[in-house]
Amino acid sequence: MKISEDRKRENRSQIIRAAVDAMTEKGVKGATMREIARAAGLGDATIYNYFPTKEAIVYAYYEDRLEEGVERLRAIPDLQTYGLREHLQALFETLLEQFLPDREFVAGTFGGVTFSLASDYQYLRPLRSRFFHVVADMFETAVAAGEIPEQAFQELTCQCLWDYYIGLVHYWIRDRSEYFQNTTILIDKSLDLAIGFIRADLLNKAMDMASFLFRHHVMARLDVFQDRMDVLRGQMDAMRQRKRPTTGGEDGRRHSQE
Amino acid sequence: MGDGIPRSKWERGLCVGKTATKLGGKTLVYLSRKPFQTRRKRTEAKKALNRETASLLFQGLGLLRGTALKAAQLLSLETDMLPPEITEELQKSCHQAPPINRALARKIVGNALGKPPEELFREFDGHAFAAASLGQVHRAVARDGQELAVKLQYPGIRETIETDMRLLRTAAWPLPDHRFLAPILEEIEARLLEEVDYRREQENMAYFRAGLRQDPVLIPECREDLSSDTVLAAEYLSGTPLIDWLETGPGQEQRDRVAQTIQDLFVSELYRLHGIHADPNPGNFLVHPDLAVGLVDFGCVKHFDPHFVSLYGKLAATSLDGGRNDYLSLLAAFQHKASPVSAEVEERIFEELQATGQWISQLYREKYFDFRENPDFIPAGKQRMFAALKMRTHMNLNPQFIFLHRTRYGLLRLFERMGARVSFRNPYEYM
Repeated sequence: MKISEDRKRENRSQIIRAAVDAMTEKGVKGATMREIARAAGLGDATIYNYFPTKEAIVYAYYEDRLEEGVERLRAIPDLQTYGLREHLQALFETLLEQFLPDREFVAGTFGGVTFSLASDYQYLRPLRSRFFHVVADMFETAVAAGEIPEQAFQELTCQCLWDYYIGLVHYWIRDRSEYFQNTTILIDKSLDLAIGFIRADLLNKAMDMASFLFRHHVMARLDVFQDRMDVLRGQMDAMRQRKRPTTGGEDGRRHSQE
Repeated sequence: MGDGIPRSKWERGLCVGKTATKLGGKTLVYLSRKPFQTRRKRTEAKKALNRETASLLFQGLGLLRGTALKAAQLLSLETDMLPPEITEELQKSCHQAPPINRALARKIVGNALGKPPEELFREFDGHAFAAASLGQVHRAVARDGQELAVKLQYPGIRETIETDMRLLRTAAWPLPDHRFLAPILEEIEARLLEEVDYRREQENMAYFRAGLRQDPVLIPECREDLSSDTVLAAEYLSGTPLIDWLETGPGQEQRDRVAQTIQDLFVSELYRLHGIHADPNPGNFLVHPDLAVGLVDFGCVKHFDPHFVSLYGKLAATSLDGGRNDYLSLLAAFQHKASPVSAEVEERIFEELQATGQWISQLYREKYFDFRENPDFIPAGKQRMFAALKMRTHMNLNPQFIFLHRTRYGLLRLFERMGARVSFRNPYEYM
């Protein structure tokens, strides 16, 4: 039986919705694929055409929210004029707002999703790389606008922001303040710091310093080592010549020319 | 942006601790030298100490920003404890809450009004055009085309007020004057909490607007549909803040007229509405090209009971023309609610009230009072303010009297700064 793409997409989101409801109520362990399929109005087997496991549904939920969050971010009228800091702040706020209706579900699953074991990494990877992509885009815009220096270690910066995002969601899950405003304050204050790091080009500078130290001190050690090697080699040569006196000894300083 | 505001509570605590240690050290130096100095030298040393401690305390506060800075500002304006240079510094940094960027502004509006700004307003400028007490003000245009000033409050500021004030009290403890600072700090806390209550401010704005529709004064219309307890949208008033207007070097006549408008406004507020706009910060008066004055920021409004207001109206006339008995009975009426005190304390209160009455009644002696010709007037008032503050530690002086006079003093200082000539005579007090 062939079904249309639209229908497929709708079924997919129905399943995710049903899974969120079921897992909010019974936890990830308690909810069954069969139950989710029925709540989504699908056959017990059909659900497996969409998702092989419950975990896959959970990851799909997070991917969808990320995608929607990015869409909503794009809808901000004067977004093009935002600086990097405002961009990032708006991104994190929007992503958290996406989670708000399903806060309990997020509280129950987010830790498992992001600290997943190697077996689940295949699910986490697309989510993570999509996030990297979104953040990298923002960085490229900022570099093009001359707001921040070229990032030699962008991958690392993205990883830091990914970890930051994970930490942020965990903080938000435990935030009990009105409108979760403590999370808002945390984002505001911590981004100040993060942007300070990025603007000051700290990572690149640290690498500069490391390479300076390497070149001037480690390499200098190598030179000393080289000298000693040369001396040693010279002595060896000399010894060899002593064993064969017939070849003439006019060349006693040869080692220093090498 | 990220320029080293101590963030966490204990970090802020540490910062206060540092200040307190420094202060303690200074006090110690003073105390250790004390026995070896002559009396005159001692007073001088004490004065120097006060100056130093005050400036140290305020340095510490400056590090904290936000609430503490605002408190520092209030403290400095109300007690006049500080050398003028520092007061100037503080005024510059007046309301320096943490800056709110566009992403955060969206979030604040969304939290408060349920929708992002682009869905609520026809236009919303993400950049602030002015700082407000513990927040900032953005320009916007409502869907119906009205130009608005939208005040946003930094999230969670209300929660930090209590902690910050507790820290401040700790910091103030080693100060020689800490006992007399305590009630002031308490009042400042109450006032800060009032200032972050935007609902209350909306009510006050509406009350003043309804009661004071008079020609040269403009009071913005509040947009309740676009306001909440952390967002306040009101009609945008054009005009230049008084302090900037003075910089443009307006002529004598213009300055006189603006000062007169502000004074008349004060009289109307007090006698018609029994409430006053109690924040005579020069940034709160906007001067229009036609010299009309716009009044903004209704975060600090004091209401008085009508009986007190009618008594107060008699003060100037009684000080100028009344006999001693009239005076005594007026003063007794001021104090009628106070708990009974010893004859000695009562005598002191009477003396204080009388001195204040005499000071303020100078304004009414002639038809016009020219601040340029009376350079001693403000320093004398400063003495009165200080004496009243000290008396408040036993809270016997009618507190309404103190509140009222503090605002009056602020206004008079403003007039002095303007170098204005003002007529204080009015039908409610003295003609």
